[in-house]
Amino acid sequence: MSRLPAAIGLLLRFLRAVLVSGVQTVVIILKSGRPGGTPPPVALVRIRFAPMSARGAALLGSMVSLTPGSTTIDIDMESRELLLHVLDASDLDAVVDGIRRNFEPGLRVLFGRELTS
Amino acid sequence: MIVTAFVLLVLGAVLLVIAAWGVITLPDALSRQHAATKAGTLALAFVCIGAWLLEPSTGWAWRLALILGFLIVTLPVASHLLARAAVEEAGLDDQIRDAPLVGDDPR
Amino acid sequence: MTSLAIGLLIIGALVAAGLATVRIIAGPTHADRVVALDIFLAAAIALAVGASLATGRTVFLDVAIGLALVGFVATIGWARLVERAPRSTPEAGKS
Repeated sequence: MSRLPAAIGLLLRFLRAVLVSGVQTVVIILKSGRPGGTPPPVALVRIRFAPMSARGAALLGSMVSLTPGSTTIDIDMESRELLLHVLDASDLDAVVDGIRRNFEPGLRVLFGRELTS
Repeated sequence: MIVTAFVLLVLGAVLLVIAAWGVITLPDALSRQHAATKAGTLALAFVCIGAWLLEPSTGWAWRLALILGFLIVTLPVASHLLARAAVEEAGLDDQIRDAPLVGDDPR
Repeated sequence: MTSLAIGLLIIGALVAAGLATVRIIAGPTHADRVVALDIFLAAAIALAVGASLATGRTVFLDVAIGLALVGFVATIGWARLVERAPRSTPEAGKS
Protein backbone atom coordinates (compact mmCIF):
# COMPACT_ATOMS: atom_id res chain seq x y z
CA MET A 1 0.00 0.00 0.00
CA SER A 2 1.06 3.62 0.19
CA ARG A 3 2.05 3.41 3.84
CA LEU A 4 5.80 3.22 3.36
CA PRO A 5 6.08 6.28 1.07
CA ALA A 6 3.83 8.16 3.48
CA ALA A 7 6.08 7.26 6.42
CA ILE A 8 9.23 8.28 4.55
CA GLY A 9 7.65 11.52 3.38
CA LEU A 10 6.52 12.25 6.92
CA LEU A 11 10.04 11.64 8.25
CA LEU A 12 11.63 13.94 5.66
CA ARG A 13 9.11 16.72 6.23
CA PHE A 14 9.62 16.34 9.96
CA LEU A 15 13.41 16.65 9.66
CA ARG A 16 13.02 19.73 7.48
CA ALA A 17 10.58 21.27 9.97
CA VAL A 18 13.02 20.61 12.82
CA LEU A 19 15.87 22.34 10.97
CA VAL A 20 13.82 25.32 9.79
CA SER A 21 12.19 26.04 13.11
CA GLY A 22 15.46 25.35 14.90
CA VAL A 23 16.99 28.26 13.02
CA GLN A 24 13.95 30.40 13.86
CA THR A 25 14.25 29.53 17.56
CA VAL A 26 17.93 30.44 17.55
CA VAL A 27 17.07 33.81 15.96
CA ILE A 28 14.42 34.40 18.66
CA ILE A 29 16.87 33.56 21.44
CA LEU A 30 19.54 35.86 20.02
CA LYS A 31 17.03 38.69 19.51
CA SER A 32 15.69 38.35 23.03
CA GLY A 33 19.20 38.12 24.51
CA ARG A 34 20.55 41.32 22.99
CA PRO A 35 20.68 44.27 25.34
CA GLY A 36 17.42 46.10 24.78
CA GLY A 37 16.03 43.14 22.89
CA THR A 38 12.40 42.19 23.22
CA PRO A 39 11.29 38.85 24.68
CA PRO A 40 9.22 36.79 22.22
CA PRO A 41 5.42 37.08 22.30
CA VAL A 42 4.50 33.68 23.73
CA ALA A 43 1.01 32.22 23.51
CA LEU A 44 -1.04 29.26 24.67
CA VAL A 45 -3.31 28.09 21.88
CA ARG A 46 -5.50 25.15 20.93
CA ILE A 47 -5.30 23.56 17.53
CA ARG A 48 -7.80 21.07 16.19
CA PHE A 49 -6.26 18.07 14.49
CA ALA A 50 -7.56 15.70 11.85
CA PRO A 51 -9.41 12.57 12.97
CA MET A 52 -6.87 9.85 13.82
CA SER A 53 -6.26 7.12 16.34
CA ALA A 54 -4.86 7.76 19.80
CA ARG A 55 -1.48 6.47 18.68
CA GLY A 56 -1.45 8.88 15.75
CA ALA A 57 -2.38 11.77 18.04
CA ALA A 58 0.41 10.84 20.46
CA LEU A 59 2.87 10.77 17.56
CA LEU A 60 1.58 14.13 16.34
CA GLY A 61 2.02 15.59 19.82
CA SER A 62 5.55 14.21 20.06
CA MET A 63 6.48 15.61 16.66
CA VAL A 64 5.11 19.01 17.58
CA SER A 65 7.11 18.84 20.82
CA LEU A 66 10.29 17.90 18.96
CA THR A 67 9.87 20.78 16.54
CA PRO A 68 11.54 23.81 18.12
CA GLY A 69 9.20 26.67 18.92
CA SER A 70 6.15 24.67 19.96
CA THR A 71 5.49 22.34 22.88
CA THR A 72 2.50 20.08 23.39
CA ILE A 73 1.06 20.62 26.85
CA ASP A 74 -2.06 18.51 26.50
CA ILE A 75 -3.91 16.35 24.00
CA ASP A 76 -7.70 16.26 24.17
CA MET A 77 -8.97 13.25 22.26
CA GLU A 78 -12.63 14.09 22.93
CA SER A 79 -12.66 17.37 21.05
CA ARG A 80 -9.55 16.49 19.00
CA GLU A 81 -7.62 19.49 20.28
CA LEU A 82 -3.94 19.97 20.89
CA LEU A 83 -2.98 22.47 23.60
CA LEU A 84 0.26 24.11 22.52
CA HIS A 85 2.72 26.58 23.95
CA VAL A 86 4.13 28.63 21.07
CA LEU A 87 7.39 30.52 21.53
CA ASP A 88 6.90 32.99 18.67
CA ALA A 89 3.23 33.91 18.51
CA SER A 90 3.67 36.79 16.07
CA ASP A 91 2.71 34.47 13.23
CA LEU A 92 0.35 31.86 14.65
CA ASP A 93 -1.12 31.04 11.26
CA ALA A 94 2.29 29.90 10.05
CA VAL A 95 2.60 27.54 13.04
CA VAL A 96 -0.83 26.02 12.39
CA ASP A 97 -0.11 25.87 8.69
CA GLY A 98 3.18 24.11 9.30
CA ILE A 99 1.53 21.42 11.43
CA ARG A 100 -1.26 20.99 8.89
CA ARG A 101 0.99 20.76 5.89
CA ASN A 102 3.97 18.87 7.32
CA PHE A 103 2.58 16.34 9.77
CA GLU A 104 -1.10 15.73 9.24
CA PRO A 105 -1.21 14.28 5.68
CA GLY A 106 1.31 11.54 6.48
CA LEU A 107 -0.22 10.77 9.86
CA ARG A 108 -3.67 10.52 8.33
CA VAL A 109 -2.46 7.90 5.88
CA LEU A 110 -0.76 5.96 8.69
CA PHE A 111 -3.20 6.40 11.56
CA GLY A 112 -6.26 8.13 10.17
CA ARG A 113 -9.78 7.11 11.16
CA GLU A 114 -9.24 3.88 12.96
CA LEU A 115 -12.01 2.39 15.01
CA THR A 116 -10.45 3.53 18.27
CA SER A 117 -10.65 7.22 17.35
CA MET B 1 34.52 15.00 4.81
CA ILE B 2 36.76 16.34 7.55
CA VAL B 3 35.60 19.86 6.75
CA THR B 4 31.92 18.85 7.04
CA ALA B 5 32.64 17.11 10.34
CA PHE B 6 34.46 20.22 11.56
CA VAL B 7 31.56 22.48 10.60
CA LEU B 8 29.00 20.16 12.22
CA LEU B 9 30.95 19.83 15.47
CA VAL B 10 31.50 23.58 15.78
CA LEU B 11 27.88 24.27 14.82
CA GLY B 12 26.77 21.85 17.53
CA ALA B 13 28.97 23.58 20.11
CA VAL B 14 27.66 27.02 19.10
CA LEU B 15 24.05 25.80 19.21
CA LEU B 16 24.61 24.35 22.67
CA VAL B 17 25.92 27.70 23.92
CA ILE B 18 22.98 29.51 22.28
CA ALA B 19 20.57 27.09 23.96
CA ALA B 20 22.15 27.76 27.34
CA TRP B 21 22.08 31.50 26.58
CA GLY B 22 18.36 31.14 25.84
CA VAL B 23 17.83 29.50 29.22
CA ILE B 24 19.43 32.59 30.79
CA THR B 25 17.61 35.27 28.80
CA LEU B 26 14.12 34.01 27.97
CA PRO B 27 11.48 35.37 30.34
CA ASP B 28 9.66 32.34 31.84
CA ALA B 29 10.03 28.62 32.45
CA LEU B 30 7.88 27.53 29.51
CA SER B 31 9.86 29.65 27.05
CA ARG B 32 13.16 28.53 28.52
CA GLN B 33 12.07 24.96 28.07
CA HIS B 34 11.88 25.54 24.31
CA ALA B 35 15.51 26.62 24.27
CA ALA B 36 16.79 23.88 26.55
CA THR B 37 15.12 20.77 25.20
CA LYS B 38 14.83 21.49 21.49
CA ALA B 39 17.89 23.58 20.71
CA GLY B 40 19.93 21.35 23.02
CA THR B 41 18.84 18.19 21.24
CA LEU B 42 19.41 19.76 17.82
CA ALA B 43 22.92 20.68 18.95
CA LEU B 44 23.57 17.11 20.07
CA ALA B 45 22.28 15.83 16.73
CA PHE B 46 24.86 17.97 14.94
CA VAL B 47 27.61 16.84 17.33
CA CYS B 48 26.74 13.16 16.89
CA ILE B 49 26.61 13.39 13.08
CA GLY B 50 29.90 15.28 13.07
CA ALA B 51 31.51 12.67 15.33
CA TRP B 52 30.23 9.93 13.04
CA LEU B 53 31.81 11.64 10.03
CA LEU B 54 35.13 11.75 11.88
CA GLU B 55 35.02 8.10 12.96
CA PRO B 56 32.91 6.25 10.40
CA SER B 57 33.25 2.75 11.86
CA THR B 58 30.35 0.52 12.89
CA GLY B 59 31.21 0.57 16.58
CA TRP B 60 30.93 4.34 16.58
CA ALA B 61 27.96 4.50 14.27
CA TRP B 62 25.56 2.39 16.29
CA ARG B 63 26.56 3.97 19.58
CA LEU B 64 26.03 7.49 18.22
CA ALA B 65 22.74 6.40 16.65
CA LEU B 66 21.69 4.94 19.99
CA ILE B 67 22.46 8.21 21.79
CA LEU B 68 20.41 10.19 19.28
CA GLY B 69 17.63 7.60 19.26
CA PHE B 70 17.27 7.62 23.05
CA LEU B 71 17.28 11.42 23.12
CA ILE B 72 14.66 11.74 20.39
CA VAL B 73 12.38 9.09 21.89
CA THR B 74 12.57 10.39 25.45
CA LEU B 75 12.52 14.13 24.76
CA PRO B 76 8.79 14.52 23.97
CA VAL B 77 7.80 12.64 27.13
CA ALA B 78 10.12 14.68 29.35
CA SER B 79 9.15 17.92 27.61
CA HIS B 80 5.44 17.17 27.98
CA LEU B 81 5.67 16.42 31.70
CA LEU B 82 7.97 19.39 32.27
CA ALA B 83 5.56 21.73 30.45
CA ARG B 84 2.67 20.50 32.57
CA ALA B 85 4.67 20.93 35.76
CA ALA B 86 5.69 24.44 34.68
CA VAL B 87 2.07 25.36 33.93
CA GLU B 88 1.00 23.97 37.30
CA GLU B 89 3.72 25.83 39.17
CA ALA B 90 3.19 29.16 37.40
CA GLY B 91 -0.55 28.93 38.06
CA LEU B 92 -1.54 29.32 34.41
CA ASP B 93 -4.71 27.23 34.71
CA ASP B 94 -6.92 30.18 33.75
CA GLN B 95 -4.90 30.91 30.65
CA ILE B 96 -5.11 27.25 29.69
CA ARG B 97 -8.88 27.29 30.00
CA ASP B 98 -9.14 30.46 27.94
CA ALA B 99 -6.61 29.43 25.30
CA PRO B 100 -8.03 30.42 21.92
CA LEU B 101 -8.64 27.91 19.18
CA VAL B 102 -6.59 28.94 16.16
CA GLY B 103 -6.72 27.75 12.60
CA ASP B 104 -9.67 26.32 10.73
CA ASP B 105 -10.95 22.77 11.10
CA PRO B 106 -9.09 20.17 9.11
CA ARG B 107 -11.11 18.83 6.26
CA MET C 1 41.83 20.73 12.45
CA THR C 2 40.18 17.81 14.18
CA SER C 3 41.64 18.66 17.56
CA LEU C 4 40.56 22.28 17.10
CA ALA C 5 36.96 21.12 16.50
CA ILE C 6 37.08 18.87 19.56
CA GLY C 7 38.54 21.71 21.62
CA LEU C 8 35.80 24.08 20.50
CA LEU C 9 33.16 21.44 21.26
CA ILE C 10 34.50 20.94 24.78
CA ILE C 11 34.76 24.70 25.40
CA GLY C 12 31.19 25.15 24.13
CA ALA C 13 29.88 22.40 26.38
CA LEU C 14 31.68 23.90 29.39
CA VAL C 15 30.31 27.39 28.67
CA ALA C 16 26.81 25.94 28.33
CA ALA C 17 27.21 24.11 31.65
CA GLY C 18 28.36 27.36 33.27
CA LEU C 19 25.34 29.28 31.96
CA ALA C 20 23.04 26.49 33.13
CA THR C 21 24.61 26.72 36.59
CA VAL C 22 23.71 30.41 36.71
CA ARG C 23 20.09 29.53 35.94
CA ILE C 24 20.03 26.73 38.51
CA ILE C 25 21.24 29.13 41.20
CA ALA C 26 18.96 31.99 40.12
CA GLY C 27 15.78 29.93 39.82
CA PRO C 28 13.25 31.42 40.47
CA THR C 29 10.89 28.44 40.14
CA HIS C 30 11.70 24.75 40.33
CA ALA C 31 10.67 24.30 36.71
CA ASP C 32 13.44 26.71 35.69
CA ARG C 33 15.98 24.56 37.49
CA VAL C 34 14.77 21.38 35.84
CA VAL C 35 15.02 23.10 32.46
CA ALA C 36 18.59 24.12 33.26
CA LEU C 37 19.25 20.50 34.18
CA ASP C 38 18.34 19.59 30.60
CA ILE C 39 21.12 21.86 29.35
CA PHE C 40 23.46 20.19 31.81
CA LEU C 41 22.51 16.82 30.37
CA ALA C 42 23.12 18.01 26.80
CA ALA C 43 26.48 19.48 27.83
CA ALA C 44 27.45 16.25 29.58
CA ILE C 45 26.63 14.17 26.51
CA ALA C 46 28.56 16.59 24.28
CA LEU C 47 31.52 16.32 26.66
CA ALA C 48 31.36 12.52 26.57
CA VAL C 49 31.31 12.54 22.75
CA GLY C 50 34.19 15.02 22.76
CA ALA C 51 36.16 12.83 25.16
CA SER C 52 35.71 9.75 23.01
CA LEU C 53 36.71 11.72 19.91
CA ALA C 54 39.82 13.00 21.68
CA THR C 55 40.92 9.59 22.94
CA GLY C 56 39.55 7.50 20.08
CA ARG C 57 37.92 5.09 22.54
CA THR C 58 34.25 4.18 22.47
CA VAL C 59 33.83 3.66 26.22
CA PHE C 60 32.92 7.32 26.63
CA LEU C 61 30.15 6.88 24.09
CA ASP C 62 28.69 4.17 26.32
CA VAL C 63 28.70 6.73 29.11
CA ALA C 64 26.81 9.11 26.82
CA ILE C 65 24.24 6.40 26.04
CA GLY C 66 23.68 5.89 29.74
CA LEU C 67 23.34 9.64 30.26
CA ALA C 68 20.80 9.96 27.45
CA LEU C 69 18.62 7.40 29.24
CA VAL C 70 19.10 8.48 32.85
CA GLY C 71 18.72 12.21 32.21
CA PHE C 72 15.22 11.60 30.93
CA VAL C 73 14.28 9.66 34.06
CA ALA C 74 15.64 12.46 36.23
CA THR C 75 13.62 15.09 34.36
CA ILE C 76 10.42 13.08 34.68
CA GLY C 77 10.97 12.43 38.37
CA TRP C 78 11.57 16.07 39.10
CA ALA C 79 8.63 17.16 36.97
CA ARG C 80 6.33 14.84 38.93
CA LEU C 81 7.68 16.19 42.18
CA VAL C 82 7.12 19.80 41.09
CA GLU C 83 3.62 18.95 39.93
CA ARG C 84 2.70 17.45 43.28
CA ALA C 85 4.36 20.02 45.50
CA PRO C 86 1.99 22.39 47.27
CA ARG C 87 1.77 25.68 45.42
CA SER C 88 3.61 28.53 47.06
CA THR C 89 1.25 31.26 45.86
CA PRO C 90 -1.79 31.65 48.11
CA GLU C 91 -4.40 30.69 45.55
CA ALA C 92 -7.78 29.18 46.27
CA GLY C 93 -9.18 25.87 45.26
CA LYS C 94 -7.52 23.65 42.73
CA SER C 95 -5.63 20.68 44.12
